[in-house]
Amino acid sequence: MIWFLLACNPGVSNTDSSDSQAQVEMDCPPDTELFQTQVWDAVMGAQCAGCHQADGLAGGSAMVLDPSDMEASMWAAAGVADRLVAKPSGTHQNGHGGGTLVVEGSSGQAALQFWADYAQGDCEAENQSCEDHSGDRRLRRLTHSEYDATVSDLLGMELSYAASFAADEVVDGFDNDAQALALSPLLTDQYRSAAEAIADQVDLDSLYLCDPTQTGYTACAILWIEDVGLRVFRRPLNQTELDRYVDLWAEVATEDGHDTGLRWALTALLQSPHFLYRPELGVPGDGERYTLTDWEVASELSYLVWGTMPDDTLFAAALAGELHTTDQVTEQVERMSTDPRTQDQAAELVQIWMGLDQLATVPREGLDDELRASMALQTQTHIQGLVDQGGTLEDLFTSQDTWVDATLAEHYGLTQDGWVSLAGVRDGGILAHASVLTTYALSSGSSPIHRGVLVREHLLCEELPPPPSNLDVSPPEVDPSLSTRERYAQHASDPACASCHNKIDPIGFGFEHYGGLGQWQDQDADQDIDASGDLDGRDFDGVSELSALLLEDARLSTCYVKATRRWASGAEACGEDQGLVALDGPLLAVADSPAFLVRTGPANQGSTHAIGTRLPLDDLPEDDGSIGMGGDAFEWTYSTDWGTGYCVDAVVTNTSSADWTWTFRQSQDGTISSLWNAEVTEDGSDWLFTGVWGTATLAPGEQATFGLCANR
Amino acid sequence: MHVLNRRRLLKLGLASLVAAPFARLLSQPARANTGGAKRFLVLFSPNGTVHKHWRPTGSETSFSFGSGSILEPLAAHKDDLIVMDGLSFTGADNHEGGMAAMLTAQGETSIDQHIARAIGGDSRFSSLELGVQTSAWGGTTQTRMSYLDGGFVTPDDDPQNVWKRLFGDVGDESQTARRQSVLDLSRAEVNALRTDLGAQERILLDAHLAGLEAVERSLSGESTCESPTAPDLSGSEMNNDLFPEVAKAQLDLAVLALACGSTKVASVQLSHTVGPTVFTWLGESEGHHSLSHIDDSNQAGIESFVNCERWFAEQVAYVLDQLKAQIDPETGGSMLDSTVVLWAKELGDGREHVCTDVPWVLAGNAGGFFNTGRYLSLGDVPHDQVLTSICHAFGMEEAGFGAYANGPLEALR
Repeated sequence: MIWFLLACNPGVSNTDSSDSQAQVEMDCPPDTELFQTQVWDAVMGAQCAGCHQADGLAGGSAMVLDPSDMEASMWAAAGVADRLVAKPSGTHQNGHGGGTLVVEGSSGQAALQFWADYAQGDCEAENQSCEDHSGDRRLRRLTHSEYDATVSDLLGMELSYAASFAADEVVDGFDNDAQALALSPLLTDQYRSAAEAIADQVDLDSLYLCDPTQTGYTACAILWIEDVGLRVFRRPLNQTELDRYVDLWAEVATEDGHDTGLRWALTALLQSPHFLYRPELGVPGDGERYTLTDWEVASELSYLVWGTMPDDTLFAAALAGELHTTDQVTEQVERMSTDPRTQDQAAELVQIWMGLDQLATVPREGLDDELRASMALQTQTHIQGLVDQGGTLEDLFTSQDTWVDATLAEHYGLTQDGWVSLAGVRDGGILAHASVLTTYALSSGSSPIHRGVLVREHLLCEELPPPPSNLDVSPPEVDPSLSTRERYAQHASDPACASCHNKIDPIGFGFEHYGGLGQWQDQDADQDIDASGDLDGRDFDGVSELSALLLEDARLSTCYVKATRRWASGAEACGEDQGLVALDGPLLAVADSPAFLVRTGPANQGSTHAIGTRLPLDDLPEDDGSIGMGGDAFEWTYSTDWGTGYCVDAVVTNTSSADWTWTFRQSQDGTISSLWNAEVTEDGSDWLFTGVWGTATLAPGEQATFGLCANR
Repeated sequence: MHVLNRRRLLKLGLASLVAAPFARLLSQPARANTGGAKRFLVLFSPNGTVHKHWRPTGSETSFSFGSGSILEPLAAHKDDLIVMDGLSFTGADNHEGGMAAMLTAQGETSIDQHIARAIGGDSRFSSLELGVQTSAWGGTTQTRMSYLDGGFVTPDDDPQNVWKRLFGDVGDESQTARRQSVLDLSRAEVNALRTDLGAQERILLDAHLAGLEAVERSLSGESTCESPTAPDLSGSEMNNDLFPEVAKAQLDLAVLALACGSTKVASVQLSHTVGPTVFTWLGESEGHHSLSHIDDSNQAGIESFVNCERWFAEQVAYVLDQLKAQIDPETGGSMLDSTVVLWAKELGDGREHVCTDVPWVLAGNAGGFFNTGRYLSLGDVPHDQVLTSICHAFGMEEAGFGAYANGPLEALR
């Protein structure tokens, strides 16, 4: 069904049409209230109605609004749906008399986009404004980098498994979209495999809370699982959950001892949905409103600011119920923001925003792994340093004090490495980093297109359409007599290409002093480099001047804020111009918002499991004698070794829960000259030792020792 | 697997297909079940072609691959091939559209997953997706070709991990029992959450349960083949210059998995659309995507592109060699004769970003179901018909595939 309005109202006449009886059509039901709440109040009343009224400056345009007649205004906006976004965004080919009023990614633009979609037939369109998605309740699966950071903090050792995990879905350039982070069969298996490997290598002694030979195996296992479990689940286990793991421990420990039982309990904990997902679900409040629990806020905070699990202080605050007001959160953020992990987190954000994660794999002529790593290290160190000193967006795009290792110093033609100033050597702040320039290049050289796209899509959050099909988009042939700039200029002279490439290439030309690996070049094809460029009608020469233009552009700040919120929430978000903010400012500000503590979602959808306090555990069961210590059954220690001979002290331990008549197998090494407390036979190239007298059969936990000397 | 993201569809221009109420097409009986195919292998290489260097010369039954042409490396297998010239992806164009429509024909499940659902039930892996440098850009419409109910099916880019899944963690009974206990525990936890939470969370939790079930199946079976030596590429499987080594390892593992009965459906995705692979091992210096846009007037550039495409054809020939050499224990004939191999591409002429005249090659006669040894000049035929015919080769009776009900492509018989 199509709804339409005959153009009897001059307010909606379409001056672009010669037909005076032109009608406005809508493919979705006209809804004045929807228009008013979602579009008029959000943007049009304030931004458009001033000029677009019958007696206003734009009174003769195709869109004439009437603040006193919402229905007429609704139809007027619907009548120009095809250009409702482009005109005030400054992206329409015929321009906009009122200039650029809404920036890419802003809530105002989102509201206009919503109406354009709705009026043109997308009846399920939603207004993609900030509040709509960043505050949805959800389960968030750990990202791969969060996984590594979390298991490392959990077990107190550097662990790196994420690089081998299946790549996650990337949505709008981000790999942490909460809806997209699901488990596939492949990833489920990789989690299993990683959990087994981690549990295998962890030093259990460092995690012991009690001595099982004193407290009892079962009691110790319960205490251990409850404590480690809290840190794995990032909240206390309830009795049902605890029992599941204690049962698993007992099943394994009965066969292979206490230690092995704990290792399998840990293996299971690391595959738990309560480990792999962090809930931002909350407990139900009024209608669609849910309040996050203290435990949920603890995780939300630590993953936002540090990218890893909560520390002991956050856990203590959650346990004490002191993490559910904005003041309490702000106090924690102040404490946390001085930690180096905050700098790491901000540095990662900036690099994700700029798309620099691609540097690790881009194939480039002449780029070896060492140079690749040096490029990445410069940018990582540089941004961390900036964040540490309270650096802003302005510093990011202007600072020429940076850190280079010897490899990169040579690449840049510097005589020294370490902290250096690139003033007078290279032109521009971060946009002159080899990491950036190499990521945005071709295998064989510079690429004005890729660098223009970097600015448009990453730094200004503009979405560029793909080249239309049925259009020959062959790149210019490499003619050694022409510079890159000349070849691309020739290419964009085709009118079909020009409409888009005129927005891209003139920005990229500004980077022409930098080759495909970011090396400085004065000449290209025997001609002096021309690095003059154009950003939306503003001329510049070289990367420094481009950076200066970007810093004056409200779109840059808006885009950075948007990217921060997108990353922080794992959902669609929008930004607003906050000026040249501190690099970690928008990130930390996420926590200060009251919206940090609540979520919205359909009513009656259950409560989070991240609730409650620790179990009392004051009445622990005693062992029934079926479980032993486990651990290494055989130890072979050289007491002395003089090259042509040696002596050994050997210990055999019954780690099982039953009597055991042991055999110790060892590769032959020389000829035994003396042997005590054991007998030996030969089996191929091995020795087989067995016990003598009372040590041949051991009770659970009992040990036997023997010794030998041998000549080689 | 989450539901098909509406925004992604909008970007692809497919939303109307989903929004519009269209009839379920996949259960109507169409033709007699005479297919004898038992295994399905999809191979993919990206960025379209240059037709004049791809097209065979000659007639339907008497044709040849010209000297220096893209398909020449397949000459020895000519009798086992059907070369299809003139397939179009209805309603799709450009890199993303082509990649998404290639195996789905605008449906929510790709042909490999659809067939795996039908025949994969009793094998350790319902299907195996292997990749060669598909994931540097993460999972996107450009980098994924397999879909299950609207979600991506992620290929495993690491041959060592593939080896481990196939041969590593199986056979030790006590370990298997413990892994089973852990899986049972996880399942109990996921189910408890699932009971308490709402519809949105259930999507994630259902995917989790499916993951646990798949892992359980893969661990509980036995590998019927002797384990080959594990590939030693871990950590460098994303290194551009090692593309040939990674590809060989993955192709070997895919053939082995099929031969051992570990799975009946496998795919090996070589790079992805817009793939930037630089064929340094052939002496090339420009990325494959850049080369795919070379204008006909640039002869050196076209030669480079053809060189790369011939390398892909050599990989297909290598796989066919392997399948031909294996005996199918049930039929006593070559394994190729009971396997359907599809070498799919996502674009026609890469320079124009179009999904018309997309160059596909089918190999294996599916127990006499397909009439191989032919070059089909089809004019302009919707490619979903080929997908429908492949279903029929497996004894499935679909009237169409994906969003279309155009029936099978009779010319393949």
